[in-house]
Amino acid sequence: MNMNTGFSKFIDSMRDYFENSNGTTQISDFRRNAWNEFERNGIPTRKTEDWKYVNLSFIGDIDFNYAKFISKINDIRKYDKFRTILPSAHNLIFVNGVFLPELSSPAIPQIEYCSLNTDTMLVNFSNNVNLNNRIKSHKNPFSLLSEALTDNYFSIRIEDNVTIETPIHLINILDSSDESIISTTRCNISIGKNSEVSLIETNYKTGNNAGLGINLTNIIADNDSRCTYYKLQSDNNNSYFISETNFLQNRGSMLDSFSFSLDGKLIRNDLNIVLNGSGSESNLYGLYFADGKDLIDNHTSIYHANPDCSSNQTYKGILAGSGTGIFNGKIVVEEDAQRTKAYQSNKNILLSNDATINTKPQLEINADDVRCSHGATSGRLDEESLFYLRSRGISADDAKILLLKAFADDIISKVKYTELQDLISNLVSEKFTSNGNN
Amino acid sequence: MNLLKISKLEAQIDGKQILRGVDLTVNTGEIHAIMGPNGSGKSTLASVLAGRDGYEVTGGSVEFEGKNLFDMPPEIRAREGIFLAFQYPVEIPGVSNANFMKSAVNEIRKHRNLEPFDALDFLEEMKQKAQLVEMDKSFMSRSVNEGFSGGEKKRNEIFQMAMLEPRLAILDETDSGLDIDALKIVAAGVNKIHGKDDAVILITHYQRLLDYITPDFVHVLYNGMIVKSGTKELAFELEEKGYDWLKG
Ligand SMILES: Nc1ncnc2c1ncn2[C@@H]1O[C@H](COP(=O)(O)OP(=O)(O)OP(=O)(O)O)[C@@H](O)[C@H]1O
Ligand SMILES: [Mg+2]
Repeated sequence: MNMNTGFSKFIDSMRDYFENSNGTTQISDFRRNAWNEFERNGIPTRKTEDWKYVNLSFIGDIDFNYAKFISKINDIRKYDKFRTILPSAHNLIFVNGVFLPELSSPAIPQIEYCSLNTDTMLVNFSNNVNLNNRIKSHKNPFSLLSEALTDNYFSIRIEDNVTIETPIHLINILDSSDESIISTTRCNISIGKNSEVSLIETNYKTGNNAGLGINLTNIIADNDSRCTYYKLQSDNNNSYFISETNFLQNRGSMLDSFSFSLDGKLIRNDLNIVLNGSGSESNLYGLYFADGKDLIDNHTSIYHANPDCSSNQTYKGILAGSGTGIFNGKIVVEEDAQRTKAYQSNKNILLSNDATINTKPQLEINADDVRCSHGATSGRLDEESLFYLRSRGISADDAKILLLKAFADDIISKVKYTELQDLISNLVSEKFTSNGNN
Repeated sequence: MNLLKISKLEAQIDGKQILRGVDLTVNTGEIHAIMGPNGSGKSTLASVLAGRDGYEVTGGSVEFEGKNLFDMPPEIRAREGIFLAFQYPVEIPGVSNANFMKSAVNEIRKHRNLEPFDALDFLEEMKQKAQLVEMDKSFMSRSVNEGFSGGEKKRNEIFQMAMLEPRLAILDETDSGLDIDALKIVAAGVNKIHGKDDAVILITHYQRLLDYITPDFVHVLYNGMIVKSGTKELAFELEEKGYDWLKG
């Protein structure tokens, strides 16, 4: 068994939970297979290529307990405030992986959703969503843990030919008030033919103990659908977030994906997209800001599996303090994917000598009629520009903030949901102000 | 009143001596022109006065209204009233001209114990000053200098100067690259802004500008020193004879 002894306590405790979680119901093969694979792989180490910059020693150091949610209705009011983050969205609240309908927006007919028991619902939605081997083959080890441990998975279905005006907001809250916790979620979403929807996933934590949140989200976007997907992580309170989001895009579908990683001790996001039908298009935007000792790691993979698809990635990062940023952008163009257009750009600003960025494009091109480009830059704020602003009376700190805002606004301004745009804009401004003088 | 007093100023960049003892005194109400061959140190002098990084002052002193200039970071110099119109204005993508000017103007107003402009007052102010240099208001929402033509950039410098109302404006080759109409507009702008309480230093290669802005003094900076000073006539002489006759 390839197990690092430093993590054996963690794995033992997760196994305990896995074996005993289910009372009398039999654990499904799906979960058991996931567990076995997780245990075979173990926790990645610095030698694992996809994780080489990530220090996971906290998993061995912190006494994590798998989150048990005890639902006392008078207690759950304390989560009310999370509904006000985006008041106009359709808010779906999850605490420690459990969906709380009492706190969530009242159901509306256009959006079908439910929380399903993984073991009893054997014909499971995830089999539709997760079938694609391209994604399966390099699964994030923590997603296996999520599949093994999550006994309820959440399912959203958007019918064909509907436009959902209200963005759907999945709020994942970790409550670590009593102990250090790990919590997992699994969410499967299907978007019907020619339908349109905006999805937002956010991560928060309450309570002062450490919290590790693992989210696995699988999305099938059917023919000619249009999806905008936002992920926002901004929690500075001893939190670790690891997520995997998989998109299967069918013919003619459009995806705009935004990833805002603004705060968190560790953020690792895997975003995998299979352009599974011709004429589909993905635009990926990312903005990350690592300061203090934060580490933010974005791994994207785009599989061009069909002809006439295009993908466009713009990820921008700001690294301050002793923060570390990682961008790994993989583009695979398969043999049949003629007339592919694939662009990737990663730009970084380093605000201190101790900040680091590791950026790596990974291109595998197996078709001949392909237009593909990638570029990465990293450097300090432009001295000439700073001087120009200061020579007009603007302080050094404010000049920095103006330039950083300009850098970030390039991404933020593309957010069409204005309430979310304002929220992100404010979060980013706060970060800039607190980092202005270092 | 004495505004700027430069005494025996020496400065280096990357260990290379550029200014070798510059003496220059500027009083309120005056316009000084500085001419001189390429590479003689004109922009260096302007940069040292504005506080650009990378220059090492190795000797001499500069006082602005009696205060040691080198005690002040660039933004304080600007707030105290020094304005440099750049020879090569910088493009700043993503920062709008309006937003930039609003931050700058309000910093300077704060420094002068004036209330900050609210949005409406600021817009009005901006409109007036843009008219002064005949700049279309569409430039205000564009990113600072981004995609501006050479002449538009220079005009934007004069617009900023009009907005900030400096005590001492240093114009580094603002006339270069301007067509004759633009030159007239820029000159008219400078003349309108200039009054008895402030002063202007014009760095230029061309006597032509001095047809529109009449200097009280003309200086020749040569190899890091002011080797000759005179009145407007000196500019004509330079136009005719070049700089060789001044060689030591
Ligand atoms: N970083 C540097 N290292 C060495 N020499 C430099 C550096 N920067 C400028 N110089 C030199 O300093 C000298 C003065 O330059 P400056 O720009 O002040 O000249 P100028 O009088 O403004 O010329 P122009 O009329 O062409 O604008 C030039 O010879 C230039 O090459
Ligand atoms: Mg020059």
